[in-house]
Amino acid sequence: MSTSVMRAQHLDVSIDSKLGKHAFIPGSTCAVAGDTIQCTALRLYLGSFMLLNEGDTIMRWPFFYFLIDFSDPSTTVFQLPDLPDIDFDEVSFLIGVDSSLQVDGPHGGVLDPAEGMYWTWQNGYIDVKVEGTASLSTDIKEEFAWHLGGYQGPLNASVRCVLPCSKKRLHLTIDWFHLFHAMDMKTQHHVMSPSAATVQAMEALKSGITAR
Amino acid sequence: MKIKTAIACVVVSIVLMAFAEKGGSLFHVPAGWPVPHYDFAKNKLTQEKVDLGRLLFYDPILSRDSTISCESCHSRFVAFTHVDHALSHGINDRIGKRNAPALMNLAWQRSFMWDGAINHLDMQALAPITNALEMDEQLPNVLEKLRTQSRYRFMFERAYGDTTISTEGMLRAISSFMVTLVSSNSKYDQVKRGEANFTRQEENGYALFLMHCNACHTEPLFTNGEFSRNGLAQDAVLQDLGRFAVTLQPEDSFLFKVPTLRNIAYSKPYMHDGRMKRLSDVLKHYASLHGQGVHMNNTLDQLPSFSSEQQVDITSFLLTLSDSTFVMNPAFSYPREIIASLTKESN
Repeated sequence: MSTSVMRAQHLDVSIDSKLGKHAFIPGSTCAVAGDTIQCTALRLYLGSFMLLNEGDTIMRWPFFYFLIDFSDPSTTVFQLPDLPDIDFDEVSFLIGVDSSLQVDGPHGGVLDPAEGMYWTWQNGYIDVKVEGTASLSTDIKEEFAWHLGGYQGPLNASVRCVLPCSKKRLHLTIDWFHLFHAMDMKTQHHVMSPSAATVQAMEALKSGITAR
Repeated sequence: MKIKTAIACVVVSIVLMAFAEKGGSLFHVPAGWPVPHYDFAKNKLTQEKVDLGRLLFYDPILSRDSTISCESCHSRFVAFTHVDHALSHGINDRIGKRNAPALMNLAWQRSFMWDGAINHLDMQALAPITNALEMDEQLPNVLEKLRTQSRYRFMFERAYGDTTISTEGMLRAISSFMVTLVSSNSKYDQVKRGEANFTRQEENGYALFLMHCNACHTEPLFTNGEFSRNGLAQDAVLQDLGRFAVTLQPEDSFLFKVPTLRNIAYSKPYMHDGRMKRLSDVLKHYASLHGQGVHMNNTLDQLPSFSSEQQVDITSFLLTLSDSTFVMNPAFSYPREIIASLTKESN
């Protein structure tokens, strides 16, 4: 038996979304913390995955990006290829798009600006898009739309998540409660450009992501 | 059907090749100029891409109701700006917020728009296409419309080897055309090459220019590519904060990109909001800043109060930056010959 023949292995990633105790996807309505939130769009980029062992990076996929669209379940499961047969204890990934990929011209695939996750009037990817209605929103139609992004200097919004992971199957749960808690529906029902507040919001979102 | 297409392709290729021959080399760096910023390794320049880009540049299909093309606000005969318009009007005569910049020597430009909001030439076209005051269109719609036209399927295949019409392909083609817009044959350039001489007045103006203007409008591109104050009071209606809108850094308030002065005689009106109709108005404005201090940057603070003779001399030098071979270049004109050959192809 030849030891040089290795079976192609990969890291299977799946993601689900909730708001507090409720499942949270476009179409769902959740009552949480005195607000009633109806979601109409929920999309985010994940990418630049890495595996670590005892703090050392042992595998990187710097150019693999995934556009998670919770209205399309097929986008909530994906694979990272060419996984080496090696021990690891943590996974690291970016919520959003790395700044280096935002200054070198157009990209195809999920990073195609036609995907609707790109600002054309001021270059940069929208890392996270959350839209819907909220009973606490002071918008005239009780709507809210958060387009979180920005790549330049102190306005760089993408955040790196590091979570425990030692198996070839990674399940991520995003609890949007942390983001909703960080945002004020009265003053921030529409966010459409980079800002320091967006950077904080992304940090809050990060704290709502867990792995098992 | 296939044979007919093949014959048509040959005819089109011959027509286009003949044109390419006439056009000569697509891009070159004039002697003494810096290395271009644009990464040609990522977008190899070919006649096929330039042709496609030129077709797109002149095609109103990019706008929501097919009324506005890039050329609408960037006309060749005025160095690719909007003649006589302080602020350009887009779809349904909606008025924009800034003066359309003249387009030239874009391969040397690091950022785009008056506030540098666009970080790469390839991404620039997306801004006017989607801006509600300009073309007011959605990118997926543009791609869809292009895909329905056999001429674009043909031109994309010719440029990229397959009929897929993608964002990347479209943007890189538009850039390909735009980087060919090199202006380097003004009287100033001819003087530098030893082919012409300045008049005494131009010579005086050039000396004053080097002393007082060249720090920002640095030759040979006549811009340093940086952002700077221009000493103008903010327009109360437009309330334009300049680069601050991009960086949110207070020190960037009222900073605007230093525009090139090449072909300045063609590209009136002037300044980011087009408030000045004549070059002499601009010279008067800068002369008036002398001694004002605090509101300005260091370079503007040090400007002398140019005498009217000095202003005339500087203006006469600025007129030597006009490049008539650039604005008359048929390779940059409405792509009549490409469209004619494509129409033949589709019959």
